[in-house]
Amino acid sequence: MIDARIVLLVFCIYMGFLFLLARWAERSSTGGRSRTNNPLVYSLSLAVYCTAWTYYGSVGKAASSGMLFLPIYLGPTASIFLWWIILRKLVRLKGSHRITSIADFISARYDKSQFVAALVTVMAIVGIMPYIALQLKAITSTFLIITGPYSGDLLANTAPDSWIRSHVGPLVTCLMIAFTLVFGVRRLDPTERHEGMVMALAVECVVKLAAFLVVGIFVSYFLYDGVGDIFSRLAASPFRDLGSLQGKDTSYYFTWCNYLILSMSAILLLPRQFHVAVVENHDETHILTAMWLFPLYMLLINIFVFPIAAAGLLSGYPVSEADTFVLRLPLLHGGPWLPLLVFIGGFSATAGMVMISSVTISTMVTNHLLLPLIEEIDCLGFLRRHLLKCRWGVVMAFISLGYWSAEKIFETEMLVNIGLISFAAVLQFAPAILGGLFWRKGSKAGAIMGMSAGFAVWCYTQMVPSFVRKGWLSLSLLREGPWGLGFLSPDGLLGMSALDPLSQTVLWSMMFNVTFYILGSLFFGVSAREQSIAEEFAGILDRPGPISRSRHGEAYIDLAAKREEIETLLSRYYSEGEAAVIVARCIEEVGINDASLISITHLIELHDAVEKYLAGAIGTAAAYRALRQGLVLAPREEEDLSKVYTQILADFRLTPAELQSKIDYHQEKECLLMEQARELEEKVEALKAEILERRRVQEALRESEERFRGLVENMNEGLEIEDERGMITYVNKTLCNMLGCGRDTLIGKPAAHFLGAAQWNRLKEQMANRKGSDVESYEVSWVSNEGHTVWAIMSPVPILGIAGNYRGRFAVFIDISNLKGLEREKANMISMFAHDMKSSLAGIHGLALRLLSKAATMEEGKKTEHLRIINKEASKLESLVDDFLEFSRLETGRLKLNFGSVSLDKELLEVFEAYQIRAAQKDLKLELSIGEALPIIQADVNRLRRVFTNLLDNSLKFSGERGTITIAAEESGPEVIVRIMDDGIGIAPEEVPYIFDLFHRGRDSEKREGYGIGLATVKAIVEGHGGRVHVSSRLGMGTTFTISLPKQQKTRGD
Amino acid sequence: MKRLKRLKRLLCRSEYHALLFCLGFVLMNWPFLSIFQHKSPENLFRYLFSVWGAAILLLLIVGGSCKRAFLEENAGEEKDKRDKGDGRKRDD
Repeated sequence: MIDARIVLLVFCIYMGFLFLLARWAERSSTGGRSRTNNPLVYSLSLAVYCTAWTYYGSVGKAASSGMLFLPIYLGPTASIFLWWIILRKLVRLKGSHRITSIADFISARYDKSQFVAALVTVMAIVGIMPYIALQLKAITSTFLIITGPYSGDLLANTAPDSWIRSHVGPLVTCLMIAFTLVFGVRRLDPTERHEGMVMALAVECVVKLAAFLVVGIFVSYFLYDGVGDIFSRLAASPFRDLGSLQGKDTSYYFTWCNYLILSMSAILLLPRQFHVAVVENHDETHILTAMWLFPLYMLLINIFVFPIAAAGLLSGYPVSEADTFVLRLPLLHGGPWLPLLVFIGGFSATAGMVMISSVTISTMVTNHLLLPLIEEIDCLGFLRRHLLKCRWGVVMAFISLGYWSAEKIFETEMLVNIGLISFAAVLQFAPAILGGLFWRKGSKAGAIMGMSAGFAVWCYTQMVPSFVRKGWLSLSLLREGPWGLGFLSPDGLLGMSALDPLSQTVLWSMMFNVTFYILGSLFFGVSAREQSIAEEFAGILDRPGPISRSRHGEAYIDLAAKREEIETLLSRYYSEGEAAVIVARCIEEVGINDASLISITHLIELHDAVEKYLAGAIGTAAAYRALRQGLVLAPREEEDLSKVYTQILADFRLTPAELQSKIDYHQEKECLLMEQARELEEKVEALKAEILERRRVQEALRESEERFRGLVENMNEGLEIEDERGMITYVNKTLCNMLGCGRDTLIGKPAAHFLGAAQWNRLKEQMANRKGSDVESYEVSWVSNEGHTVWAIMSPVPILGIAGNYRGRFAVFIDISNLKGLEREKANMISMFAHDMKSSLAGIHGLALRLLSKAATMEEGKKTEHLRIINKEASKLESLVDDFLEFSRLETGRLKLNFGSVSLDKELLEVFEAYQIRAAQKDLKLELSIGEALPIIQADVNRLRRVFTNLLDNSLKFSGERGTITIAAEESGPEVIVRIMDDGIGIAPEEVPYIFDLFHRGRDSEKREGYGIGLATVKAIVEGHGGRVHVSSRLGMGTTFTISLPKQQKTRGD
Repeated sequence: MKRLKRLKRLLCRSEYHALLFCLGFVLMNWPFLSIFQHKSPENLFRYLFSVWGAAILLLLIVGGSCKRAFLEENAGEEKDKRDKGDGRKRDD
């Protein structure tokens, strides 16, 4: 026993190899080098005729009926003598009418009738179904044999049922479907050529021949001493009469003759045979090679059939198992590899047939059953764009149906008998086809009547008995005939029970078919169009063929100039390089590559070749139009062409009426093609315009997106976008900076990730209570990654879809941390101010109360002291209130300057003198340095003095003992520069940017006096004068405040 | 030589092919098979395969002759193809 998994594995490896081979062949074909365009591949592909029916069934037939298997192969050999006439006609007509199947061919002959094509398609489906069943049955049974144990009992097949073995039928069916779709139905090809599939087929044919020969040699020369030894032993055994004609009566010879006739028709009329022999033919001369090579193949694959059958019987196998002798003998006597080779050979025989048949049936069903239905029924119109999928469906259905019929109808039949049923079915095409090729009076009506009658007889004599044996129909139908009419019994029509059922079928079906074909054709006659087609079909080999055959004429046309003209035309559709290659290829095909001057016929052939290439890119109609418009003949060329056509027409020997009919037909066809080309061009232009518009819109969208991105990334506010699930999909740079983390840590997380769950829940509640689409703002806070608390105003806005559905949300965040800080500072300052005011007022109040209560008894000195303190505290309070009034004006922008002429020299001198004493008291040196006399400037003298006093107060506050404070002033261009320098404690670098901010009091602010409004006032006053103030400081080294004041006042609002 | 050429031309005629077909049909069929009615299966086997082999040989000869005649008929086009080997005549 061989493990089922190993068999499957080998099987899959083999199919993988075939697939790669097929891909290679297809790619080569696409690159312009067809691997199948050679007589060897063509001849081998014809060997698809030898299916599992040959591989297994012939041995079965030989074991039961002797040499009766041979006519199936002798018949084709005899008929091949006629191939140079018949097959060549079929191939030539295929080329001129673009035939893609046998249904197409018969329909083309009989007035291009859709009904004829549909009838042939239905007949083919029903007729070929048994054949597919045969193949699947062969694979299934041989798989079970090869994976079952061999225990010495020849009949034993008692392998434990693995899942594979118990489902081998459906498994094989599925694999066959898959392989067929992969190899044969991957794309729609207008020529219906399948180079890859043909290449795989040719290799399969070699594999099955090799496998069979190996088994034959093994059985004949390893199990026995040659073929002669087998015959000798057979003669001495109970099977001595096997293969002998002794005792055979007339019915045997009739059967032999029937088999010859059936096989002669089957070799070309089976849909798969028609496909490989006609549709896939590249060159008529390949037929001449196939005419001897294919019969040789059949001889070799049959030479060991009888010896194997005899050896099987001599080994003790029953006749009922004869279909599998070719596998059982190696299993019994050989190692595991020979049976595996045999199995692969058998599979090759099966797979090729199933693939090709399914592909051709799917083509016929799609083209002749489905497409007409689609044209009739509007609601099926959408299927036009899914024809490939329809073909897949047909393949699946066809193979599945084959499996079903193998299981339900033919499970007990011998393989070879099943195949002969299909042969009898396709025989019904023979009168229509042969009549169509040779008989000009054969008409559509006759063909329909003949095929229908023949097919009906086939169904009645072959399928009905099978259904009766299955129990689907009453047994009395066979025994007594329908309605008790015994002479109508399917088994013996008109009492002719001496013949076997198949011979009866052949006899009666052909009788009815031919009779109705002839009578129908004669009775209904042929229309003018049918007559024209019949003439063409019958005389296809008589015609001169392509005009180059014998009418070259004088060579005077410059090939180089024409080449350039054609390349110019092609460069509209291809690149320059590609156009040159195509033209070179066409010139080579016409056979004029060595010529510098060519004749008019060569030129027309060249144009024809170019048109066919171009048709592959832009369609037949558009290519036709492009060439008519792009390639113009010179007057002499037109005249010569006219002469050539005149001569050709004279050779045709047509009557004027026939000629006019043909011309009208072709002119109408040309008009249709031109119209179609124009419509296609318009569609192409419309598509181009649409593409351009789409590109423009895409570009505009991209620019808009870039602008949006730039805007969003650079805005000062943070932006966050969430999807409908609440997950963050975007954050801008500003928000990342506010949060102190990277974008990656936020994307895909919910907003609660940085806002905190509690705050987020509260926000959600607030947002839910929001009315309608009002945009509301909420104050939020979080702790950034740097550890400081960030305060922000969050304004969420929902994003709604076109249908009003919620699509997500975006939220803008405005950082108000500084404002919060300012608020805190302001609150602190107001608290301090209130405290200071209260303490001053408390002092004043206390002293006033004392004076009131003890004025009479208090000493004058004490009274004066108290009054002095009250005055001082009141002054202090007044100064305090002034400061806050100043602050209030600063905050509200109501700082009003009273400009007047001011002598800076004088003012600085006064300030200097006023601060001398205070500086001395603190052991500080105060210096004044003024260069040349300073100009008179326009300024508010009181405010300016406040600036200087504020700065000096700071210097005094922050200078240590024995320090120096310098006041310097100089003129500098349009400005006057005043500097107040000290060598005090300095300002920390991180404080410098904020030194002029309101309420900013620097480090250790709690230890110092002041509310942080002094320098803010200085800055506001200086800027109110149109000047600037700048600070430079080094910690521990001192500070310099530099004030620049314009000499001339600019207009600055206050 | 001339007779040989005439024979070769004869081999290409369709009437000759029809004759060979009929001959083959008869040789592979009754009544010729009935000759072996009283003979052993081995003799019948040899006969059938011999006739088959002879038919193949004849087909080879006929094919060769027809090919030459076909190529000569298309002399202008086929001359280059002969130089290159088996032709690549365009189809469709």
